[in-house]
Amino acid sequence: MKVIASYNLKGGVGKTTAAVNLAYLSARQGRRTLLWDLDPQGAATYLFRVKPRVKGGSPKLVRGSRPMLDAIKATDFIGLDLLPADFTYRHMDIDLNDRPKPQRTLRRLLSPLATDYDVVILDTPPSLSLVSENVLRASDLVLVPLIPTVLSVRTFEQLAQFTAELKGRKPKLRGYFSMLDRRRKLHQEILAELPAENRQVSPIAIPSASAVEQMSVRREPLPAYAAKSPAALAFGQLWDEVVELLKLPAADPSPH
Amino acid sequence: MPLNVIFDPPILTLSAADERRGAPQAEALLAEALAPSYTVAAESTRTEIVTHLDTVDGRLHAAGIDLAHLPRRRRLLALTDGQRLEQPVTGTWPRLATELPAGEVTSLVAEPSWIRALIPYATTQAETTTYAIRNGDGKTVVRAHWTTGSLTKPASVELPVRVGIETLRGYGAESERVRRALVRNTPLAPTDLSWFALVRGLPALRPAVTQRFGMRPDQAADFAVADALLGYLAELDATVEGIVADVDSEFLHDFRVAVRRTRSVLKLLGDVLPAGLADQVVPEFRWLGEVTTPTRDLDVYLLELDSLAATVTHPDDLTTFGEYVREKRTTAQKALAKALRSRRYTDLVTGWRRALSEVIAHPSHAEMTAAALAEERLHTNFRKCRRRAAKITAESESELIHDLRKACKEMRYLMEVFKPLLDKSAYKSVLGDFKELQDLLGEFQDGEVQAVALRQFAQEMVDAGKVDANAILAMGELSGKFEARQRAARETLTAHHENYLGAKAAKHVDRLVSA
Repeated sequence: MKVIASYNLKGGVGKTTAAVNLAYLSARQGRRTLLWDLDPQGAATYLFRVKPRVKGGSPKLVRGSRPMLDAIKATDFIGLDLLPADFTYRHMDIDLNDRPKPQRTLRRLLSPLATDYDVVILDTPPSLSLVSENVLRASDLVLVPLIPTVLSVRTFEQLAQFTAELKGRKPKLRGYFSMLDRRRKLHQEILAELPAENRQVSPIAIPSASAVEQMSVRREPLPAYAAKSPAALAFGQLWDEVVELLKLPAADPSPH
Repeated sequence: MPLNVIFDPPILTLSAADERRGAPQAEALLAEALAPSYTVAAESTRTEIVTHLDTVDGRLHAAGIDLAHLPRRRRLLALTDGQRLEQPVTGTWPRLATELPAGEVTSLVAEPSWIRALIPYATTQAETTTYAIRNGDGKTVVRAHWTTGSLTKPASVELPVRVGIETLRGYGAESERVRRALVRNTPLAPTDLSWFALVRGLPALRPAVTQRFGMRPDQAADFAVADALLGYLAELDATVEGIVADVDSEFLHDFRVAVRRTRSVLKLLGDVLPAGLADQVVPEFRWLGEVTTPTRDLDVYLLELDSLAATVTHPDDLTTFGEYVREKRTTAQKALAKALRSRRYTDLVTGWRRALSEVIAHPSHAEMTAAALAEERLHTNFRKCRRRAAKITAESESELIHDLRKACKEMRYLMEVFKPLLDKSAYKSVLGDFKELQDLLGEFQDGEVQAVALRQFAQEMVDAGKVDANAILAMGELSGKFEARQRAARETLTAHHENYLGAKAAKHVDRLVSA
């Protein structure tokens, strides 16, 4: 089982969009996939039409008194399940802090799911908190959506430094461009230069597109209704890169 | 998308009466039954072909295993104890389990299928449309898989509609609500029958059983004997195609058992049939015994080769011998298939069936009943066994032991023929008396035959230049072991035959026929 986080300190940069679409693509290739919506706002949960509620909430999940599997819901897509958001996740830092080795709690909680899932994708809230540290320690790969601006690039560098300084197990970090507007000169310059300067940044760019915005109206992953759109194709490329980076074994796309 | 074929309960189905009223419109039926709480939308449709597999004698079914090949998915699927196993597979059937690629299904079926080939006993086709059952938020909470299917081989039969209710993770309560609503509001009813059980239960799949009457004490003797012989003839019919197609070695084994039984009955009871009938077919059944012997002998070597190799000092030295036996077997099998496809064989079975049916239709020995015949012949034969056993001493020729073996075998066949008339517990006792003796005699016979055959093979291999010294030495070692087995069996037999054929056994035989 591989754990992938969609993470950025900043909000509104396309984390949930990526988490939902990549989870969908993973399942479509035949991998048993779980998306955990860790963001109390519950955007990913909303997109899958699932009620943002976990019985017992964050305290019980973090304590382990409610098994993770009992809280999971099937989505409408074969092979893709969702651990929904819950409003109590806003206090998850406190719940985690009460556990022994609090920075490693999430990893511990996820490990029993290895028999049920090939891929777990974490959709994270925008912050640098104990939850974020848990996410970094639990993940094999952290995908960071970057709006091509100077500040965004600076934030990525800060995150890279923070990750490098983590003791013990470190995730791979991979930035990619999100909400790219090709009409903007600055976007084009950063897109051309940054991947050449920083090997942790992918040249793949998800364009800013109305098809992406439609996700919240249609409440479906983008490739499910606009598979040929440039944004969906870009997510496809990004997923191929993830498969390569994590050396995910080939899956059987035939139905389960 | 799971098919109902491989789907866990709950499964709903239509009754035969509802089925006759015409196939309902699935989507409309579901939508109407589940409104207003749920809406229904078709998601996808797929057709699956299912090749149902088992050994010809149903060993997997007896072991609680359902096996199928899903050629479109290139999957081999096994269901057992509520567990579902799958592995990739391609290719055609029949095939032995040892010829399948390694995998968890192969491991599961290897032992129960024994040395018997996996044969398609039915082919079904299933078209499944999956409907998403959605709640008020438009979220799919249950999937209903609506399957219409048919048996396509060995006959064409429509199967009842099956609706599988798939419980989605986290929506167990909704699934139960939907199931209850469908049972309440539609003609669909719960069923425990799996797809496999449904197919196995079809009349089209029941084996064509030859009309047999079964033996009764007051039956005319010739009627009873002809009826038993028709049973053996049915066994020849059931196995001959498997031999010609070389499906597995047990077809030939079963065929030879039926031939041997026929020959014994002709010899021991043939005189009650119309005059000349037995004499007419005796040479033909002897011929059947002879044409089947070479292939069977070589089969036995091949089946035992691994265990034989394990008994010699250098097992690898027997590899050349194995190859030689396989080569010889290919030639023998071709000759056997030719014989069984011949006019001579067809004429034999056709004429034999006609003659036996004639006896059944016009029994002529009404004065002699089946019970009287059983009593007379079982006593005569038992006396023959005792006489032959009494002749055997430590010095007597092997021939005498073979004579005893034949008499004992005939006793066993007689008992099988008359089994319905015999006292059950006495039958068990006599069978027990004879079983141990026959095993011993079999050991003696096998030891001798195998040792002689090995010498002959060795000479043939030397003549053909197909052998090295190591192989000959290994075969010699093997031959020595066979001879030792024969000697051991003989010593036990000489010392103990009174245990098997003495006064106690005679009492058992008296009790056997007294009922």
